Amino acid sequence: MLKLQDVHASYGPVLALRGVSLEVPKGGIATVLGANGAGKSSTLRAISGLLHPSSGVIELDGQRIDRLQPERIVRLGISQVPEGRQIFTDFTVGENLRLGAYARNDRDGVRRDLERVFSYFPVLRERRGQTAGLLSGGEQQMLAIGRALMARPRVLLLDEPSLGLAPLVVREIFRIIKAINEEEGLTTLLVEQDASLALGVAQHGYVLETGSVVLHDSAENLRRDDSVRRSYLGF
Amino acid sequence: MDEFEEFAQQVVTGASIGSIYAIVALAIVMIYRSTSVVNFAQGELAMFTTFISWSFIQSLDYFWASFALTILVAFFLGGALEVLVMRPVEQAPHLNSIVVTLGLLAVFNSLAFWRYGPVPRAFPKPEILSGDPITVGSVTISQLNLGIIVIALLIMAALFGLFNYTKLGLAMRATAQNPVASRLVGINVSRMLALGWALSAAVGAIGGMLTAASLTLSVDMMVAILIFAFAGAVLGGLDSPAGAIVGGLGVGILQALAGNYISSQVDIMAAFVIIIAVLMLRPTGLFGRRVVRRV
Amino acid sequence: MTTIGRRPQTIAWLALVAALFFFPYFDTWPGFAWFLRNLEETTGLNLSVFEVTTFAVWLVILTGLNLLTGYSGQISLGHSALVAAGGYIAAILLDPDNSTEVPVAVAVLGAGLGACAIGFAIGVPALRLSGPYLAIATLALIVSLPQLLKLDNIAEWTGGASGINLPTPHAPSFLDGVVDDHQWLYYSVMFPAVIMTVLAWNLMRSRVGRAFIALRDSEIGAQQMGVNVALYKTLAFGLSALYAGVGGGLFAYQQQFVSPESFGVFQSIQLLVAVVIGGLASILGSILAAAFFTFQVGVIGRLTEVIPAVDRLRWAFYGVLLIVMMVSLPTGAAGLVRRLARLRLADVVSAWRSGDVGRAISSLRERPAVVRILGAPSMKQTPTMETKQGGDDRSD
Repeated sequence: MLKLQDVHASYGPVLALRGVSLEVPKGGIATVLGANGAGKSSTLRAISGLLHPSSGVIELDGQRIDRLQPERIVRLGISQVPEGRQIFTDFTVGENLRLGAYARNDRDGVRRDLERVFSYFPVLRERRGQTAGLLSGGEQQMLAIGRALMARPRVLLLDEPSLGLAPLVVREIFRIIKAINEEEGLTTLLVEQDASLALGVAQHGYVLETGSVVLHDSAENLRRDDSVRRSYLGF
Repeated sequence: MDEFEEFAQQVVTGASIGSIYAIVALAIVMIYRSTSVVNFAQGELAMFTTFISWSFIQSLDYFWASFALTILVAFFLGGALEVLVMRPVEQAPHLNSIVVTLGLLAVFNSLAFWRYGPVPRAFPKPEILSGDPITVGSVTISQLNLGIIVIALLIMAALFGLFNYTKLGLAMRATAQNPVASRLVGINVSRMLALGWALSAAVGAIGGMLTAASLTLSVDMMVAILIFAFAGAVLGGLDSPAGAIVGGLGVGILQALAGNYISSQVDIMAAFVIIIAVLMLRPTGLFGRRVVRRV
Repeated sequence: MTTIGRRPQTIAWLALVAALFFFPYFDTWPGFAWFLRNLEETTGLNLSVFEVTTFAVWLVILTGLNLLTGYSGQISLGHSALVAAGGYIAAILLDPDNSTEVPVAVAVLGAGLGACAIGFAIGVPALRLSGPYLAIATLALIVSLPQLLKLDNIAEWTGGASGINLPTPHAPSFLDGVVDDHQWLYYSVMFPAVIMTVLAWNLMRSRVGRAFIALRDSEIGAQQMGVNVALYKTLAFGLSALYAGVGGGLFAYQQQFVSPESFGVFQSIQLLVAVVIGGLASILGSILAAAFFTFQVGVIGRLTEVIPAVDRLRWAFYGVLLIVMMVSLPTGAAGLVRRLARLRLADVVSAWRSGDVGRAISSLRERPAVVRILGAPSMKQTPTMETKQGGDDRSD
C-alpha cells in the first residue's frame, strides 16, 4: 500500500534520510523505531510532502507521490498525526475535528465519521465545545488522532504519539490505535521512541539509524532480537 | 446650540472620521487574523493604490468604475506582495516580518512621492454622496460621511461573514493559528496567506479612496490615519473585525471630543495614550480572543 | 577564530587606534587632502573631520539601537524619540539663553541619564508587550513626538517648531593653535563614542549579552533557563536609552541645533535600515551601520546629480535594501564579513596555483561557510517544516 524506495532527503546541508526503504502492506500496521535524530520524523514528513526528497520514490497504492504538495497528498488519502500534536489551540474540539474533514465534500459521510471518532474517544464528545488548548495532553493526542481520522484516510501516519504522556494514557491510546487498525483495516505507520509499546501493536518493524534502515523484521522477531533488546528495549 | 447638541455634533463628526479609521483598522485586522503579521505598510499601500485610482479617474472619468478597478488592482498587488516579499520571511521570527513591512512602508511612500510629487490633489466625491448634508435637530452630517460609515459597516459584515461562516474563512483562521496543522488537513496555506494580503490590500484601498474623498489626496495623508487606525485595532482587538469597527469609531469620537474640549494640539498624543492604556489594561482589546497557550 | 596570527592582530589594532587618534591631522598632508577632495567629487563620500565626527555620534546611537533590537530582539520605533529626548535635554542645558553655564560633559551626561530614566520607564510597561504590540506602541510614540515638542505650554523650553540653536563649540583656550574647532569637536565626540562602543562590546560578551540573546530567541525559553526576563528586558531598554540619550546629547552639541523635524518616524526607519544593513547583534555591525547612515547622505546626493529621480526614490531604495537584507542576509554586512573571514582561503589558493582549478572550485563550494550562503551542492533544497510555534521540529 505504502512504499518507500531508497529515499534521500535533507534539511539544507544536513542529510536526514539516506536511502530509506520500507513498505507497509494494505491493512497492516508497521512501526519505525530509532533513537532521537535517526530520521523517524523526517520519514513521515517526506511521506506527507512536508519535506521534499532529493531522490528516491514514495508510492501510495502504486501511485507516485514523492513530488506532490502536502494538500494533494492529504486528498489522496494520507493523514498524519504530527509530532507534538499540533492541534488548533484557539478552536474548539468540534472545530478541530471538522477541520480534519476540510478536504472532503460529503456532508453525510463527515457526520458519520464524526460519530465514529466520538465512539473511539468518548471524552472528545464530552469536551466538544471546549477550547482545544485547554485539554490535557492525552486528550489533545486523541483529538489529533481524531482529526486525522476525519479525513477518512487510506493510510494513517502517527509521529511519536506517546511523547509527553502518562503511561496509563499512552496504553489507552495505543489500544485504540490497534482497534482502529483492526476494525477499519486502516493501513498504519507508527513512528515511536517507545519500542516495546510500538512492537506490541505493530506487525512489522523498521529500525532507523542516522537516516537509513539498519534492521527490519516482523515485530515478534524484533522483540526477541538481541541487539534490539539491548539498544531499544532496555535489556 | 446647547451643550448636548454640541456634544452630539462632536460625536457625529468623530464617528465620521472614525469610520475611516475603522476601515483601515479592518485591513490591519484582516492581515493579522489570516497571517499573524502586523502590516505597518498598510497606510502607505492604501495611499499608493488611491493614487492609482486617481490616475484611473483621470483617464476614465467615471468614479465607480475606477473605484472597482482600483480594488481589483489592490487585490492582486496585495497577493503579489505576500508571495514575493513576505513568503521568504514567513518562517523567520516575527521581528523579520515587521521589519520587512517597515521596508514596504518606505518603498510605497517613496514610489508615490516619485511618481506623483508632493502637491496635494483634489479627489472627486462620488455623485450619489455629493448632495446636501443631512440634518437631525441641529446635528449635521455630510452625505459623504454617512456613506463612509455605511461602507465601513458593510465591509465589517462581509469580513465577519467570511471568517465565521465560510469554509474559506475557517481555513484562513486555521492557517494563521497553525500553518503546519493546516497543511496536514489539506489547506493550501500559501494560497490562504496570499488571499489574506490580497483582501487586506483591497479593504485598505477602499479606506484610502474614502480618505482622499474626505480630505485631499496627498502622499502624507495616511501617516497619521495609520496611527489612529492602529489605536482602533488595538482597542478593539487585533483579531476582531467587530473590534476594528468599534475601536475605529471609538478613537474617532474620542479624538473629536479631546480636540473640542481639550486642545486640537494633542490628538495624535491622545491616540498614543489610548494604545498604551489598552495594552496595559486589556492587551487583547475589547473583543479580541484571549490567546490560550499551554507551555 | 581567525586565521591571522596574534602579532599581526595586535599591530592591526594599534594601527587602527593611531589612525583614529591622528585622523584630524591627516588632511594637513596635501596628498591626503587631494585624495579626500577627489573622493567626494566622484563618489560623494564626505570624509571630512566634521563628517567623521557625525559618524561618531551615530555610532553611539546605533550601538544603542543594536543593543535593543539586534541583541535583545525588541522592535522599538521609539529609539528616535529617546535620541530626541537626549538632544533636547542637552540643548536646554547648553542653551545660552537659559541662565546657568553648564559644561558640555555634564550636559551630555545629563542627556544620557535623562533618556535612560525614560527608557527604564518605557521598559516597565514594555515588559507586558510582545513583538508587534511593542512596535505599534512605539510607532504611536514616535509619530506623536513632533506634536509633543511643538506644544504651546512647553514651547518656551523646547523652542516650539523652530527648535533650539546652540553656539559653536570652541576648543578650550590652552589648546589654541594645537587644535582648531573642528578638530576639538572630533576629539570631544570620538573619545566618548569609542569608550561607549568598547563598553558595549565587553558587555555583550558577558553574561548580560548572553541573556539578551536568550531573550531575543525565546522569552519563554529564556525564562525556563533561569534568565530573569523582567530584569534583562528592562535593562535592554534602559541601556539602549542611555546610548540614545548620550548620542542625542552629542548630536545637539555637534550639530548645534535640535528641532522637532530632526527626529521622526522616517528617521526611526532609517536607523533600523542602518542596523539591519550593518548587522544585528554585532558591534562591528553597529560600526558599519553608523558608517552607512552617515556617509550614504553624500553618496545619494552625488547619485542624485547624475540621476535626478534618485532624490525622490531614496526611501524606496532604503526600503528595498531593508527587505532584501532581511530576506537574504539577516546578519547584515557584519555577518558577511564574519563568514568571509572563516573561509580558509589558503587551501583554495594553493589548489589554484597547482593548476587544479576544478578541485579548487569544488573544495571552495563545499566549505561550510559557502554552503551556508549558497546552499548544499547538488542537493535539492526545499522549505522545511519549521514553524513559529510548536517548538523544535528538527528532532529526527
